[in-house]
Amino acid sequence: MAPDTTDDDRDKKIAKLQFLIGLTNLQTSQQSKSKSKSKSKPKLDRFDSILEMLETSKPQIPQVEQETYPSRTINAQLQVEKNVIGIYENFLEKGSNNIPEIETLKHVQYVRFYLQNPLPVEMLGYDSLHTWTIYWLLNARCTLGGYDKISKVEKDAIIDKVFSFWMDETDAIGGFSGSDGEYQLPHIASSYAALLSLVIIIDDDNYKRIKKNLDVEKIHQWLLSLKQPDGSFFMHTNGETDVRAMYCALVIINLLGIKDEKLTENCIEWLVSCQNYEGGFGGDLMDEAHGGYAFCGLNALLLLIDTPKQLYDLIDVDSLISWMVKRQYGMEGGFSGRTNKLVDGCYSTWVGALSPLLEVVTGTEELINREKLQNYILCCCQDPGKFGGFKDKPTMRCDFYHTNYVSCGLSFCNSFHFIDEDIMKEDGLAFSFKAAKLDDDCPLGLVDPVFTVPIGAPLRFKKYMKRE
Amino acid sequence: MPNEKSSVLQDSGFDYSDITPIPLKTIDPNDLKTPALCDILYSDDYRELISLLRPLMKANEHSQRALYLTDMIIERIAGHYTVWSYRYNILETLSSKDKSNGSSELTNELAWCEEVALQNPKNYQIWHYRGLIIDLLLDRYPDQFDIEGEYKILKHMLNEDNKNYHVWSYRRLFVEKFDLFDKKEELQFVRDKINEDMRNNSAWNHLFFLKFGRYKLKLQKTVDDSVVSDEISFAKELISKAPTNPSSWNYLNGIYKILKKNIIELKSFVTQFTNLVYEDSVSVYAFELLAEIHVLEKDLEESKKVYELLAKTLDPVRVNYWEYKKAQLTVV
Ligand SMILES: [Zn+2]
Repeated sequence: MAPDTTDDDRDKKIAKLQFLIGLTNLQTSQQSKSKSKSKSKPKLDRFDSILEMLETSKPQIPQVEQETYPSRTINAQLQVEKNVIGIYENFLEKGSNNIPEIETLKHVQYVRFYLQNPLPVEMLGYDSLHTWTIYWLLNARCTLGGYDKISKVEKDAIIDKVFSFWMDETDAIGGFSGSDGEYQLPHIASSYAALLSLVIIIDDDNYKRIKKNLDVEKIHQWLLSLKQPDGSFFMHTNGETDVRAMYCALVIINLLGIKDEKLTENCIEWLVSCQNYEGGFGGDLMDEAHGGYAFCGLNALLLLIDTPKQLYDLIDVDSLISWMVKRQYGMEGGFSGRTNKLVDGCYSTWVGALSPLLEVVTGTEELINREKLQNYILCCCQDPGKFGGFKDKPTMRCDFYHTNYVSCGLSFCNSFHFIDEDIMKEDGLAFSFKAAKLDDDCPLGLVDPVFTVPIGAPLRFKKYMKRE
Repeated sequence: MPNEKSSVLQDSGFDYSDITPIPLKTIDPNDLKTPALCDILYSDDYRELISLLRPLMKANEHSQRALYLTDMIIERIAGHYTVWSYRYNILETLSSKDKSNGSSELTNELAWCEEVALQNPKNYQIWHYRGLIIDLLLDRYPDQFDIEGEYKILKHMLNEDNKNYHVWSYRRLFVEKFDLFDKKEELQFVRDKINEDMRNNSAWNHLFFLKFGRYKLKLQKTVDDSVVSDEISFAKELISKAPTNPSSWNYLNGIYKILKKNIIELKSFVTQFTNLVYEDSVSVYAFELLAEIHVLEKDLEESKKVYELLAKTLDPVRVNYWEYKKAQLTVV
C-alpha cells in the first residue's frame, strides 16, 4: 500500500496540530479509520484508546506546583511524561496502520537466543541469580506462546541445570542456590525460581526423574531452620527477612505439599502487619507500600487461606484496592510501584496481577484499566528495532527480568481470571485460579496470578508430586 | 596458579600458593547443541577468585586472606549472597574478644560497607549485612559504636537517592533498635526531606513510622492527642500547598485509619478542594474522601454523584474503580 504521501503528510500535520491545541481528535481518528479498511479491529481500538488517553488525562503535577515547589520527584515525572507523550504522539501521527502490536516473534527470538547461548562476561551479575534467569526466560517463552513447544532435549537440559544448583547445606537440610558451583548457600528465592522452572517443564516423561532428585524432606527441614518465631523467614543463613522470603517459602511449601503447623505458624499475623497505612504492603513491618511486596503479601495470604472471602477478615481489602488502582497513571497508562514514583513495565505483573486476584475476591469484572496498561507495554516497553525483549521504560534497556514480568503483564491485560470451586475445595485456593482470553486472537499464553507460571501448571506439578 | 599468567591477586600481599583451587567448569562457547541456560563466560579474573574462594569456604578458613578474596568478589558482583554470608562468618572470628584488634576489625568493616554501598545503591545485601556487623559490635565492644557515623552515611545515601527503599528500611530498623522515635535530629531530618520534596513518599512513610510506629508495634497503648493534632495539621498544611499530592493525603487518611477517627470531621477541609475545581489541579483524593464522608453520613445519593463525576470527568483512567465503588454503595 503506497498512500499519496503529500496527503498523508498533511493529515499527520493536522493531527499533530489538533493534538497540540488540545482539540478533540475525533475527526482525525475517523479519517484514519476509513483510510485503513484492511486493518483489524484491535489495532483501531488501540489508536482510539491512545488518543483518548492523551486527551483525557492531565499531567500529574499541576503547573502551579511545578513552579512553586520544584523538586526531584516533579522533574523525574515531567521527564517521563514528556518521553511517553512523545512516543504516543509519534505513533498517532503515523496513523492507525502503525500502532505497535505485540511482536511475539522478535521476543521469542530474544528469549531463545539467551537460553541457547552462554552469557557474555558483562552479565556477570547474574552469577547469583542463575535459577532466576532460567525461570525468567523459560516463563517468558511460555507466556509468549511457547508453552507446548519446549522440546525434550531442552527439558532434560533444564532438569540437569536446575539440579546442578541443589545444595545440601548439611546432611539434614538443603535447597537450591543461585550461584554456580559447590559450597554455595541455598536461598529461598533461588529455590522458588528453581522450582517454578520445574513446574513449567514437568510432564509424564520426566516427573519420576524430578521426583527422585527433589529431596522434599531436606527442603522441609531447611525451611524450618529459617523460620522465625514472629512468623517470618530468613532468606538464607545470615540473610534478611521480608515479605518476599515469606511468599517464596509459601509457594515452595504449597507446591511440595509440606504445609504444616510449624511452617505456617504466625505467618498470617506477620503478613497482615505488613499492610501499611497506604493500603499496600511493605517489605517488613511499617516499610513503605511497594508493588513488589504487595504482590508477595497478597499472594502469600492466598497461599494460606481457604476461600477468597477470608481475606476480608484479615486485611483492609478496600484500601489495598484503592492503593492498587492509584498505581496506574493516566497519561502513561502503566503502573508505578509506589506513591509518587515513576511508571515501570515490571509492575504490569507486580501490580497487574493484583487486579485479577482482587477482581475474583470482590466479584468485580475489572478494577484496573487493562487497555491503557496495554498501550504502555506495547508502545513504551518494546524496542522499535529488530531486537526483542521488554523493558522498564523507553529510556532503559531490555533485560530478562522485565522481559518476563512485562510479558506476564501483557497476558493479564488480555485475560480475566476466575476460581474453580471444586479445585479450591480439593487442592486449596491458590491452585484454583483459571483464566480465559478476552480476545481469542491474542497470541499470548494465560498466566497464573499467584505463581506467575502458565495457568494450570502448579496444580499439575502438585499432582505429579503425589503420583507414584 | 600457573606462573606465566598474571594473577589478579599478585598485589594482594597475601600468599594463596598453598591452596588447591576448585575451578569453575569450563564453557565451550562454540557448543551449539546443548542449550547453555545462562552459563556465563566468566573472565579469567573471576574464575581465579572463585576457584580459590571455594576451597577456603570448604575448609571454613576465617583469615585475612579469605577476607580479601570476598572483597574482590563483592567488588565484581555485589549480589553474591553466599560470599556476604561467608564474609560475615570471617568477621565473626576475626573480631572475637581474644583478638588484640577485634574492635577495629568491626569499625573498619563499617567503613568498608560504606564504600560498597556508595557503589551499589540498589543492593539488597549490604544494609542487612551492615546491621549484622553493628549487632556484633554492640555485643562485643558496645563503647566502640558511633551512632553519629550511622547518621552520616544515611544522610549521604538519602541525598544521592531520596527514595532508596533499602536505606529507608534500614533507617527504620535503626530507629527502632536505638529507640530514636523522639530524637529531635531524626524528626528534623525527615521533615527537611519532606520540605525539600513534598512528593517524597518514603519520607512521609518514615514520618508515619516515627509518630505512630510505637502504637502500631504495640510498644505504646495510645498516641498523644498533641501528636495527633500536630500531624493532622502538618498534613493539611502540605495538602493546601499541593492539593494533588497523594503522599500528604495518604498520610492524613492513614492517621484517621490507624486511630479509627471519624473522617466526617474532615468535611469542611475536604470541600475546600472539591468546591474549587482548578483547571489542572483537581484533587482526586479530595473527591474520593468526600465520597466516603457522604457514605458515613448515609447520603448515598451524594456519594454516587461524586463517584460518577470521578469516573466520567475527573479521573477517567480509573473508571472501572469508580464504577466499582459506586456499585458497592447499593450493597451497603
Ligand atoms: Zn522494573
